[in-house]
Amino acid sequence: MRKKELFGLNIKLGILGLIAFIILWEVIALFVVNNPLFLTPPHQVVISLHQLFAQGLIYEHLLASLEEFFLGIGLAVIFGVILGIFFGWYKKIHWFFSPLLTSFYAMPTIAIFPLILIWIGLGFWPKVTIVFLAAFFPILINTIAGVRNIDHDFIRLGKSFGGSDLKIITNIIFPATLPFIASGLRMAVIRGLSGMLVAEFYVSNKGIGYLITYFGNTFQTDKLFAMVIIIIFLGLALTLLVNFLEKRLQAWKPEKN
Amino acid sequence: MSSKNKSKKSIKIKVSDLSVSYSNDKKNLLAINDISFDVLKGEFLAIIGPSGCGKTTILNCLAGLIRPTSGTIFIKNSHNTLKKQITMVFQDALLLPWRTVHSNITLGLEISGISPKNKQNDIDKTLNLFGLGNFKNFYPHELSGGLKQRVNLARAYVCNPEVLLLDEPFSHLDLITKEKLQLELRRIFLISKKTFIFVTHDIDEAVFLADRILLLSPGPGEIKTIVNTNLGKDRKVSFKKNRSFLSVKNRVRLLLAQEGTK
Repeated sequence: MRKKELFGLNIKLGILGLIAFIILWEVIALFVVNNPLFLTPPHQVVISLHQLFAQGLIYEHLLASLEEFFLGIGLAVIFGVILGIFFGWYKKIHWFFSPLLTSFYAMPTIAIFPLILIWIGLGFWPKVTIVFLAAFFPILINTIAGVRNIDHDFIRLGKSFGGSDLKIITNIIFPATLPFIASGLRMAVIRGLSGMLVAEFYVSNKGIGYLITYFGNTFQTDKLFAMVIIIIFLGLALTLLVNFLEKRLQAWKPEKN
Repeated sequence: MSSKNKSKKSIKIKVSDLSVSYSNDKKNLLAINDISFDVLKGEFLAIIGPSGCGKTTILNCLAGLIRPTSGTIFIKNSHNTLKKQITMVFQDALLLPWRTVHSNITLGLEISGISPKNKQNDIDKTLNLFGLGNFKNFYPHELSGGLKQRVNLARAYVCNPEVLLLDEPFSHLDLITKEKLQLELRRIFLISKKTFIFVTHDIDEAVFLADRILLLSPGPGEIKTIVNTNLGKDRKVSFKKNRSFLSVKNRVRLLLAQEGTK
Protein backbone atom coordinates (compact mmCIF):
# COMPACT_ATOMS: atom_id res chain seq x y z
CA MET A 1 0.00 0.00 0.00
CA ARG A 2 2.78 2.35 0.99
CA LYS A 3 4.68 1.48 -2.20
CA LYS A 4 1.54 2.25 -4.26
CA GLU A 5 1.19 5.60 -2.55
CA LEU A 6 4.84 6.38 -3.23
CA PHE A 7 4.39 5.41 -6.87
CA GLY A 8 1.38 7.74 -7.15
CA LEU A 9 3.38 10.54 -5.57
CA ASN A 10 6.20 9.88 -8.01
CA ILE A 11 3.87 10.44 -10.98
CA LYS A 12 2.14 13.44 -9.40
CA LEU A 13 5.46 15.16 -8.71
CA GLY A 14 6.63 14.42 -12.27
CA ILE A 15 3.50 16.01 -13.76
CA LEU A 16 3.82 18.95 -11.37
CA GLY A 17 7.43 19.51 -12.52
CA LEU A 18 6.34 19.45 -16.15
CA ILE A 19 3.52 21.95 -15.52
CA ALA A 20 5.92 24.21 -13.57
CA PHE A 21 8.36 24.13 -16.50
CA ILE A 22 5.63 25.04 -19.03
CA ILE A 23 4.38 27.92 -16.82
CA LEU A 24 7.94 29.20 -16.37
CA TRP A 25 8.50 28.98 -20.12
CA GLU A 26 5.23 30.87 -20.79
CA VAL A 27 6.10 33.59 -18.25
CA ILE A 28 9.66 34.06 -19.53
CA ALA A 29 8.49 34.08 -23.18
CA LEU A 30 5.70 36.60 -22.54
CA PHE A 31 7.15 38.90 -19.89
CA VAL A 32 10.94 38.56 -19.99
CA VAL A 33 11.96 37.85 -23.59
CA ASN A 34 8.77 39.15 -25.17
CA ASN A 35 9.94 38.25 -28.68
CA PRO A 36 8.19 35.21 -30.24
CA LEU A 37 10.86 35.01 -32.92
CA PHE A 38 13.41 34.29 -30.23
CA LEU A 39 11.31 32.31 -27.74
CA THR A 40 7.76 31.27 -28.68
CA PRO A 41 5.41 30.85 -25.70
CA PRO A 42 4.09 27.30 -25.28
CA HIS A 43 0.44 28.21 -26.02
CA GLN A 44 1.57 29.50 -29.45
CA VAL A 45 3.56 26.28 -29.99
CA VAL A 46 0.39 24.28 -29.30
CA ILE A 47 -1.53 26.37 -31.85
CA SER A 48 1.21 25.85 -34.46
CA LEU A 49 1.29 22.13 -33.72
CA HIS A 50 -2.46 21.97 -34.27
CA GLN A 51 -2.13 23.91 -37.54
CA LEU A 52 0.60 21.58 -38.82
CA PHE A 53 -1.64 18.56 -38.32
CA ALA A 54 -4.85 20.32 -39.39
CA GLN A 55 -3.30 21.46 -42.66
CA GLY A 56 -2.00 17.95 -43.25
CA LEU A 57 1.47 19.22 -44.16
CA ILE A 58 3.19 17.18 -41.52
CA TYR A 59 1.96 13.72 -42.52
CA GLU A 60 3.95 13.39 -45.72
CA HIS A 61 7.16 14.41 -43.94
CA LEU A 62 6.49 12.25 -40.91
CA LEU A 63 5.87 9.25 -43.13
CA ALA A 64 9.08 9.85 -45.11
CA SER A 65 11.13 10.07 -41.88
CA LEU A 66 9.51 6.99 -40.36
CA GLU A 67 10.13 5.00 -43.54
CA GLU A 68 13.85 5.85 -43.45
CA PHE A 69 14.01 5.25 -39.73
CA PHE A 70 12.27 1.87 -39.57
CA LEU A 71 14.11 0.50 -42.60
CA GLY A 72 17.47 1.55 -41.12
CA ILE A 73 16.65 0.23 -37.65
CA GLY A 74 15.19 -3.00 -39.06
CA LEU A 75 18.35 -3.73 -41.05
CA ALA A 76 20.49 -2.79 -38.02
CA VAL A 77 18.59 -5.26 -35.83
CA ILE A 78 18.90 -8.10 -38.36
CA PHE A 79 22.61 -7.61 -39.06
CA GLY A 80 23.51 -6.47 -35.52
CA VAL A 81 21.96 -9.49 -33.85
CA ILE A 82 23.24 -12.08 -36.35
CA LEU A 83 26.79 -10.70 -36.37
CA GLY A 84 26.68 -10.06 -32.59
CA ILE A 85 25.84 -13.70 -31.90
CA PHE A 86 28.48 -14.82 -34.40
CA PHE A 87 31.21 -12.66 -32.85
CA GLY A 88 30.11 -13.55 -29.33
CA TRP A 89 30.18 -17.27 -30.11
CA TYR A 90 33.45 -17.33 -32.05
CA LYS A 91 35.62 -15.23 -29.77
CA LYS A 92 38.79 -15.44 -31.84
CA ILE A 93 36.99 -13.86 -34.80
CA HIS A 94 35.70 -11.21 -32.42
CA TRP A 95 39.22 -10.52 -31.14
CA PHE A 96 40.34 -10.07 -34.75
CA PHE A 97 37.63 -7.48 -35.47
CA SER A 98 37.46 -5.97 -31.98
CA PRO A 99 39.63 -2.84 -32.53
CA LEU A 100 37.73 -2.07 -35.72
CA LEU A 101 34.32 -2.51 -34.09
CA THR A 102 35.26 -0.44 -31.04
CA SER A 103 36.54 2.36 -33.27
CA PHE A 104 33.39 2.45 -35.37
CA TYR A 105 31.23 2.33 -32.23
CA ALA A 106 33.09 5.29 -30.75
CA MET A 107 32.86 7.32 -33.97
CA PRO A 108 29.85 9.64 -34.44
CA THR A 109 28.26 8.13 -37.54
CA ILE A 110 27.38 11.50 -39.01
CA ALA A 111 31.13 12.16 -39.43
CA ILE A 112 31.17 9.85 -42.44
CA PHE A 113 27.95 11.20 -43.96
CA PRO A 114 29.81 13.09 -46.73
CA LEU A 115 31.56 9.84 -47.64
CA ILE A 116 28.24 8.02 -47.78
CA LEU A 117 26.93 10.71 -50.10
CA ILE A 118 29.94 10.23 -52.38
CA TRP A 119 29.49 6.44 -52.37
CA ILE A 120 25.69 6.20 -52.56
CA GLY A 121 24.60 9.56 -53.91
CA LEU A 122 21.59 11.64 -52.94
CA GLY A 123 18.09 10.43 -52.17
CA PHE A 124 16.51 7.93 -49.85
CA TRP A 125 19.32 5.41 -49.28
CA PRO A 126 22.07 7.59 -47.74
CA LYS A 127 19.60 8.54 -44.98
CA VAL A 128 18.69 4.88 -44.41
CA THR A 129 22.43 4.08 -44.34
CA ILE A 130 23.06 6.71 -41.67
CA VAL A 131 20.21 5.35 -39.51
CA PHE A 132 21.53 1.83 -40.07
CA LEU A 133 25.11 2.72 -39.09
CA ALA A 134 24.02 4.75 -36.07
CA ALA A 135 21.85 1.89 -34.82
CA PHE A 136 23.94 -1.09 -35.90
CA PHE A 137 26.89 -0.70 -33.54
CA PRO A 138 25.02 -0.40 -30.22
CA ILE A 139 22.98 -3.48 -31.15
CA LEU A 140 26.08 -5.39 -32.26
CA ILE A 141 28.17 -4.47 -29.20
CA ASN A 142 25.33 -5.27 -26.79
CA THR A 143 24.57 -8.59 -28.47
CA ILE A 144 28.24 -9.60 -28.23
CA ALA A 145 28.23 -8.64 -24.53
CA GLY A 146 25.02 -10.66 -24.06
CA VAL A 147 26.49 -13.80 -25.60
CA ARG A 148 29.64 -13.40 -23.52
CA ASN A 149 27.59 -12.97 -20.37
CA ILE A 150 25.85 -16.34 -20.66
CA ASP A 151 26.75 -18.82 -17.96
CA HIS A 152 29.07 -21.31 -19.67
CA ASP A 153 27.25 -24.16 -17.95
CA PHE A 154 24.21 -23.46 -20.15
CA ILE A 155 26.39 -23.98 -23.21
CA ARG A 156 27.77 -27.19 -21.67
CA LEU A 157 24.20 -28.27 -21.10
CA GLY A 158 23.38 -27.67 -24.78
CA LYS A 159 26.49 -29.55 -25.86
CA SER A 160 25.67 -32.45 -23.56
CA PHE A 161 22.57 -33.07 -25.68
CA GLY A 162 24.80 -33.32 -28.73
CA GLY A 163 23.24 -30.34 -30.47
CA SER A 164 24.76 -28.37 -33.33
CA ASP A 165 25.99 -24.83 -32.72
CA LEU A 166 22.92 -23.52 -34.56
CA LYS A 167 20.54 -25.45 -32.29
CA ILE A 168 22.35 -24.20 -29.18
CA ILE A 169 22.29 -20.65 -30.53
CA THR A 170 18.57 -20.67 -31.36
CA ASN A 171 17.46 -22.46 -28.18
CA ILE A 172 19.81 -21.03 -25.57
CA ILE A 173 22.03 -18.20 -26.76
CA PHE A 174 19.50 -16.01 -28.60
CA PRO A 175 16.79 -16.03 -25.91
CA ALA A 176 19.38 -15.47 -23.17
CA THR A 177 20.76 -12.47 -25.10
CA LEU A 178 17.39 -10.75 -25.57
CA PRO A 179 17.70 -8.37 -22.57
CA PHE A 180 21.05 -7.17 -23.93
CA ILE A 181 19.62 -6.78 -27.44
CA ALA A 182 16.78 -4.71 -25.96
CA SER A 183 19.30 -2.42 -24.19
CA GLY A 184 21.18 -2.04 -27.47
CA LEU A 185 17.94 -1.33 -29.30
CA ARG A 186 16.99 1.40 -26.81
CA MET A 187 20.31 3.12 -27.49
CA ALA A 188 19.99 2.43 -31.21
CA VAL A 189 16.58 4.10 -31.42
CA ILE A 190 17.88 7.41 -30.06
CA ARG A 191 21.09 7.26 -32.11
CA GLY A 192 19.14 6.32 -35.22
CA LEU A 193 16.69 9.16 -34.69
CA SER A 194 19.56 11.67 -34.33
CA GLY A 195 21.27 10.27 -37.43
CA MET A 196 18.05 10.51 -39.41
CA LEU A 197 17.49 14.15 -38.40
CA VAL A 198 21.01 15.28 -39.20
CA ALA A 199 20.94 13.49 -42.56
CA GLU A 200 17.65 15.20 -43.37
CA PHE A 201 19.08 18.58 -42.33
CA TYR A 202 21.64 18.34 -45.10
CA VAL A 203 20.30 16.40 -48.05
CA SER A 204 16.56 16.20 -48.11
CA ASN A 205 13.46 17.86 -49.36
CA LYS A 206 11.27 15.69 -47.18
CA GLY A 207 11.16 14.55 -43.58
CA ILE A 208 11.09 16.02 -40.11
CA GLY A 209 14.73 17.09 -40.26
CA TYR A 210 14.07 18.94 -43.51
CA LEU A 211 11.06 20.74 -41.96
CA ILE A 212 13.14 21.77 -38.95
CA THR A 213 15.79 23.31 -41.23
CA TYR A 214 13.10 24.93 -43.37
CA PHE A 215 11.28 26.51 -40.40
CA GLY A 216 14.62 27.60 -38.92
CA ASN A 217 15.78 29.23 -42.16
CA THR A 218 12.46 31.03 -42.57
CA PHE A 219 12.38 32.16 -38.91
CA GLN A 220 9.11 30.33 -38.14
CA THR A 221 10.18 29.77 -34.56
CA ASP A 222 6.73 28.64 -33.38
CA LYS A 223 6.69 25.82 -35.96
CA LEU A 224 10.31 24.98 -35.16
CA PHE A 225 9.32 24.47 -31.52
CA ALA A 226 6.34 22.41 -32.69
CA MET A 227 8.71 20.16 -34.65
CA VAL A 228 10.93 19.75 -31.58
CA ILE A 229 7.85 18.68 -29.61
CA ILE A 230 7.05 16.13 -32.34
CA ILE A 231 10.61 14.78 -32.17
CA ILE A 232 10.38 14.47 -28.38
CA PHE A 233 7.11 12.55 -28.68
CA LEU A 234 8.55 10.37 -31.44
CA GLY A 235 11.58 9.51 -29.30
CA LEU A 236 9.34 8.78 -26.32
CA ALA A 237 6.96 6.65 -28.40
CA LEU A 238 9.83 4.63 -29.87
CA THR A 239 11.42 4.10 -26.45
CA LEU A 240 8.04 3.00 -25.07
CA LEU A 241 7.67 0.63 -28.02
CA VAL A 242 11.06 -0.95 -27.20
CA ASN A 243 10.06 -1.20 -23.52
CA PHE A 244 6.78 -2.84 -24.52
CA LEU A 245 8.56 -5.35 -26.78
CA GLU A 246 11.09 -6.08 -24.03
CA LYS A 247 8.29 -6.70 -21.53
CA ARG A 248 6.43 -8.95 -23.95
CA LEU A 249 9.56 -10.99 -24.64
CA GLN A 250 10.34 -11.28 -20.95
CA ALA A 251 6.82 -11.91 -19.72
CA TRP A 252 8.18 -14.85 -17.75
CA LYS A 253 10.15 -12.57 -15.40
CA PRO A 254 8.76 -12.33 -11.88
CA GLU A 255 7.29 -8.97 -10.87
CA LYS A 256 9.66 -7.14 -8.56
CA ASN A 257 8.29 -7.10 -4.98
CA MET B 1 30.91 -61.16 -5.79
CA SER B 2 31.69 -58.64 -8.40
CA SER B 3 32.40 -61.30 -11.01
CA LYS B 4 29.05 -62.93 -10.20
CA ASN B 5 27.29 -59.72 -11.00
CA LYS B 6 29.22 -59.27 -14.22
CA SER B 7 28.19 -62.70 -15.39
CA LYS B 8 24.52 -61.72 -15.09
CA LYS B 9 24.78 -58.44 -16.90
CA SER B 10 26.67 -57.51 -20.04
CA ILE B 11 29.15 -54.69 -20.18
CA LYS B 12 27.64 -51.42 -21.40
CA ILE B 13 30.64 -49.14 -21.12
CA LYS B 14 34.30 -50.09 -21.03
CA VAL B 15 36.72 -47.43 -19.89
CA SER B 16 40.37 -48.31 -20.50
CA ASP B 17 43.47 -46.47 -19.30
CA LEU B 18 41.68 -43.14 -19.19
CA SER B 19 43.86 -40.15 -18.32
CA VAL B 20 42.97 -36.49 -18.45
CA SER B 21 45.30 -33.62 -17.81
CA TYR B 22 44.44 -29.96 -17.79
CA SER B 23 47.07 -27.52 -18.85
CA ASN B 24 47.23 -23.78 -18.62
CA ASP B 25 50.11 -21.42 -19.41
CA LYS B 26 52.69 -22.94 -17.13
CA LYS B 27 51.17 -25.85 -15.28
CA ASN B 28 50.07 -29.28 -16.36
CA LEU B 29 47.64 -30.87 -13.93
CA LEU B 30 46.91 -34.58 -14.16
CA ALA B 31 43.27 -34.87 -13.09
CA ILE B 32 42.79 -38.62 -13.57
CA ASN B 33 45.44 -41.21 -14.19
CA ASP B 34 45.08 -44.52 -16.03
CA ILE B 35 41.55 -45.27 -14.95
CA SER B 36 39.93 -48.47 -16.18
CA PHE B 37 36.52 -49.80 -15.25
CA ASP B 38 33.43 -51.39 -16.72
CA VAL B 39 29.86 -50.24 -16.38
CA LEU B 40 27.30 -53.01 -16.62
CA LYS B 41 24.12 -52.65 -18.60
CA GLY B 42 21.23 -51.60 -16.37
CA GLU B 43 23.32 -51.12 -13.23
CA PHE B 44 23.46 -48.16 -10.88
CA LEU B 45 27.10 -47.24 -10.48
CA ALA B 46 28.12 -44.57 -8.00
CA ILE B 47 31.46 -42.82 -8.23
CA ILE B 48 32.65 -41.45 -4.92
CA GLY B 49 35.76 -39.77 -3.68
CA PRO B 50 37.05 -36.62 -2.02
CA SER B 51 37.00 -33.23 -3.76
CA GLY B 52 39.41 -32.98 -6.66
CA CYS B 53 39.65 -36.71 -7.33
CA GLY B 54 38.30 -36.33 -10.86
CA LYS B 55 34.74 -37.63 -10.44
CA THR B 56 33.20 -34.97 -12.65
CA THR B 57 36.07 -35.26 -15.13
CA ILE B 58 35.21 -38.92 -15.68
CA LEU B 59 31.57 -37.99 -16.22
CA ASN B 60 32.50 -35.21 -18.64
CA CYS B 61 34.61 -37.68 -20.63
CA LEU B 62 31.70 -40.12 -20.79
CA ALA B 63 29.37 -37.33 -21.91
CA GLY B 64 31.81 -36.32 -24.62
CA LEU B 65 32.29 -32.87 -23.11
CA ILE B 66 36.01 -33.42 -22.50
CA ARG B 67 38.47 -35.21 -24.71
CA PRO B 68 40.64 -37.61 -22.71
CA THR B 69 44.37 -37.06 -22.93
CA SER B 70 44.77 -40.80 -23.41
CA GLY B 71 42.72 -43.96 -23.08
CA THR B 72 39.49 -45.15 -24.65
CA ILE B 73 35.81 -45.27 -23.86
CA PHE B 74 33.89 -48.01 -25.58
CA ILE B 75 30.13 -48.09 -25.55
CA LYS B 76 28.44 -51.30 -26.56
CA ASN B 77 25.95 -51.17 -29.43
CA SER B 78 27.14 -47.70 -30.10
CA HIS B 79 26.11 -47.05 -33.65
CA ASN B 80 25.43 -43.42 -32.95
CA THR B 81 27.76 -40.93 -31.36
CA LEU B 82 28.49 -41.02 -27.67
CA LYS B 83 26.30 -38.03 -27.00
CA LYS B 84 23.10 -39.49 -28.39
CA GLN B 85 23.29 -42.56 -26.16
CA ILE B 86 24.20 -40.65 -23.06
CA THR B 87 22.66 -37.63 -21.41
CA MET B 88 23.91 -35.78 -18.40
CA VAL B 89 22.23 -34.34 -15.34
CA PHE B 90 24.26 -31.45 -13.98
CA GLN B 91 24.91 -30.48 -10.38
CA ASP B 92 23.02 -27.20 -10.82
CA ALA B 93 19.57 -27.61 -12.31
CA LEU B 94 20.48 -25.18 -15.13
CA LEU B 95 16.88 -24.51 -16.06
CA LEU B 96 16.35 -21.84 -18.67
CA PRO B 97 14.45 -19.11 -16.79
CA TRP B 98 12.34 -18.06 -19.79
CA ARG B 99 11.02 -21.59 -20.40
CA THR B 100 8.25 -23.29 -18.46
CA VAL B 101 8.81 -26.70 -16.85
CA HIS B 102 7.31 -28.34 -19.95
CA SER B 103 9.52 -26.52 -22.41
CA ASN B 104 12.59 -26.92 -20.20
CA ILE B 105 12.01 -30.66 -20.36
CA THR B 106 11.78 -30.57 -24.15
CA LEU B 107 15.05 -28.64 -24.48
CA GLY B 108 17.18 -31.74 -24.99
CA LEU B 109 14.84 -33.05 -27.65
CA GLU B 110 14.79 -29.72 -29.49
CA ILE B 111 18.58 -29.43 -29.40
CA SER B 112 18.90 -33.00 -30.65
CA GLY B 113 16.67 -32.04 -33.58
CA ILE B 114 13.60 -34.01 -32.40
CA SER B 115 10.29 -32.20 -32.54
CA PRO B 116 8.58 -32.28 -29.11
CA LYS B 117 5.24 -32.56 -30.94
CA ASN B 118 6.19 -36.06 -32.04
CA LYS B 119 7.15 -37.01 -28.49
CA GLN B 120 4.21 -35.54 -26.61
CA ASN B 121 3.27 -38.92 -25.19
CA ASP B 122 6.80 -39.50 -23.84
CA ILE B 123 6.90 -35.97 -22.44
CA ASP B 124 3.61 -36.43 -20.58
CA LYS B 125 4.77 -39.80 -19.23
CA THR B 126 8.05 -38.26 -18.04
CA LEU B 127 6.25 -35.33 -16.40
CA ASN B 128 4.09 -37.77 -14.47
CA LEU B 129 6.98 -40.10 -13.66
CA PHE B 130 8.86 -37.24 -12.02
CA GLY B 131 5.77 -35.84 -10.30
CA LEU B 132 5.76 -32.70 -12.42
CA GLY B 133 2.34 -33.03 -14.03
CA ASN B 134 0.86 -30.20 -11.99
CA PHE B 135 3.84 -27.93 -12.54
CA LYS B 136 4.28 -28.12 -16.31
CA ASN B 137 3.28 -24.49 -16.87
CA PHE B 138 5.38 -23.12 -14.01
CA TYR B 139 8.54 -21.11 -14.57
CA PRO B 140 11.78 -22.10 -12.77
CA HIS B 141 11.58 -19.14 -10.38
CA GLU B 142 8.26 -20.50 -9.15
CA LEU B 143 9.76 -23.89 -8.20
CA SER B 144 11.49 -25.16 -5.06
CA GLY B 145 15.02 -26.54 -5.22
CA GLY B 146 13.71 -30.11 -5.18
CA LEU B 147 11.31 -29.49 -8.05
CA LYS B 148 14.05 -27.83 -10.07
CA GLN B 149 16.15 -30.95 -9.69
CA ARG B 150 13.21 -33.09 -10.77
CA VAL B 151 12.98 -31.01 -13.94
CA ASN B 152 16.74 -31.38 -14.38
CA LEU B 153 16.39 -35.16 -14.15
CA ALA B 154 13.29 -35.27 -16.36
CA ARG B 155 14.98 -33.18 -19.06
CA ALA B 156 17.75 -35.77 -19.39
CA TYR B 157 15.40 -38.73 -19.01
CA VAL B 158 12.92 -37.69 -21.73
CA CYS B 159 15.67 -37.98 -24.35
CA ASN B 160 15.46 -41.71 -23.66
CA PRO B 161 19.21 -42.26 -23.29
CA GLU B 162 20.66 -45.69 -22.63
CA VAL B 163 22.96 -44.23 -20.01
CA LEU B 164 22.17 -41.38 -17.61
CA LEU B 165 25.09 -39.53 -16.05
CA LEU B 166 24.28 -37.69 -12.82
CA ASP B 167 26.76 -35.21 -11.43
CA GLU B 168 25.90 -34.67 -7.74
CA PRO B 169 22.35 -33.56 -8.58
CA PHE B 170 21.19 -33.50 -4.96
CA SER B 171 24.21 -31.85 -3.36
CA HIS B 172 22.51 -28.45 -2.94
CA LEU B 173 19.32 -29.82 -1.39
CA ASP B 174 18.23 -30.06 2.22
CA LEU B 175 18.31 -33.52 3.82
CA ILE B 176 14.56 -34.21 3.67
CA THR B 177 14.23 -33.23 0.00
CA LYS B 178 17.43 -35.11 -0.76
CA GLU B 179 16.15 -38.35 0.77
CA LYS B 180 12.83 -37.99 -1.02
CA LEU B 181 14.57 -37.54 -4.36
CA GLN B 182 16.93 -40.44 -3.66
CA LEU B 183 13.90 -42.67 -3.23
CA GLU B 184 12.33 -41.29 -6.41
CA LEU B 185 15.53 -41.78 -8.36
CA ARG B 186 15.88 -45.35 -7.18
CA ARG B 187 12.24 -46.01 -8.17
CA ILE B 188 12.77 -44.47 -11.60
CA PHE B 189 15.98 -46.45 -12.05
CA LEU B 190 14.14 -49.69 -11.41
CA ILE B 191 11.29 -48.78 -13.77
CA SER B 192 13.52 -47.52 -16.56
CA LYS B 193 16.07 -50.36 -16.63
CA LYS B 194 18.60 -47.81 -17.87
CA THR B 195 22.23 -47.56 -16.80
CA PHE B 196 22.82 -44.84 -14.20
CA ILE B 197 26.24 -43.43 -13.31
CA PHE B 198 25.97 -41.19 -10.27
CA VAL B 199 28.76 -39.00 -8.95
CA THR B 200 28.58 -37.97 -5.31
CA HIS B 201 30.74 -37.22 -2.29
CA ASP B 202 28.00 -38.39 0.06
CA ILE B 203 28.72 -41.95 1.28
CA ASP B 204 25.18 -42.43 2.57
CA GLU B 205 23.74 -41.46 -0.82
CA ALA B 206 26.14 -43.67 -2.78
CA VAL B 207 25.40 -46.75 -0.66
CA PHE B 208 21.65 -46.14 -0.71
CA LEU B 209 21.42 -45.69 -4.47
CA ALA B 210 24.09 -47.79 -6.07
CA ASP B 211 24.60 -51.43 -6.98
CA ARG B 212 28.34 -50.82 -7.16
CA ILE B 213 30.50 -48.00 -5.86
CA LEU B 214 33.69 -46.92 -7.55
CA LEU B 215 36.01 -45.33 -4.99
CA LEU B 216 38.50 -42.80 -6.24
CA SER B 217 41.62 -41.53 -4.54
CA PRO B 218 42.77 -37.96 -5.18
CA GLY B 219 45.74 -36.23 -6.73
CA PRO B 220 45.67 -37.52 -9.47
CA GLY B 221 42.37 -39.43 -9.46
CA GLU B 222 42.89 -43.17 -9.48
CA ILE B 223 40.59 -46.07 -8.74
CA LYS B 224 41.08 -47.27 -5.20
CA THR B 225 38.59 -50.09 -5.31
CA ILE B 226 35.11 -51.04 -6.45
CA VAL B 227 32.62 -52.00 -3.75
CA ASN B 228 29.63 -54.17 -4.55
CA THR B 229 26.78 -53.07 -2.26
CA ASN B 230 24.67 -56.26 -2.59
CA LEU B 231 21.75 -54.55 -0.93
CA GLY B 232 18.97 -55.79 -3.15
CA LYS B 233 16.53 -53.83 -5.22
CA ASP B 234 13.92 -52.64 -2.77
CA ARG B 235 15.19 -49.74 -0.71
CA LYS B 236 13.28 -47.39 1.57
CA VAL B 237 14.46 -44.57 3.83
CA SER B 238 14.14 -46.87 6.86
CA PHE B 239 16.56 -49.13 5.03
CA LYS B 240 19.31 -46.73 6.07
CA LYS B 241 19.08 -48.18 9.60
CA ASN B 242 19.51 -51.70 8.26
CA ARG B 243 22.63 -53.55 9.44
CA SER B 244 23.80 -54.50 5.97
CA PHE B 245 23.42 -50.91 4.80
CA LEU B 246 25.43 -49.62 7.76
CA SER B 247 28.05 -52.28 7.22
CA VAL B 248 28.62 -51.25 3.57
CA LYS B 249 28.59 -47.62 4.57
CA ASN B 250 31.24 -48.17 7.24
CA ARG B 251 33.34 -50.15 4.83
CA VAL B 252 33.25 -47.37 2.26
CA ARG B 253 33.94 -44.78 4.95
CA LEU B 254 36.97 -46.73 6.19
CA LEU B 255 38.34 -47.14 2.70
CA LEU B 256 38.01 -43.40 2.04
CA ALA B 257 39.44 -42.54 5.47
CA GLN B 258 42.47 -44.74 4.77
CA GLU B 259 43.03 -42.63 1.69
CA GLY B 260 42.77 -39.48 3.77
CA THR B 261 45.48 -40.61 6.20
CA LYS B 262 47.82 -41.82 3.51
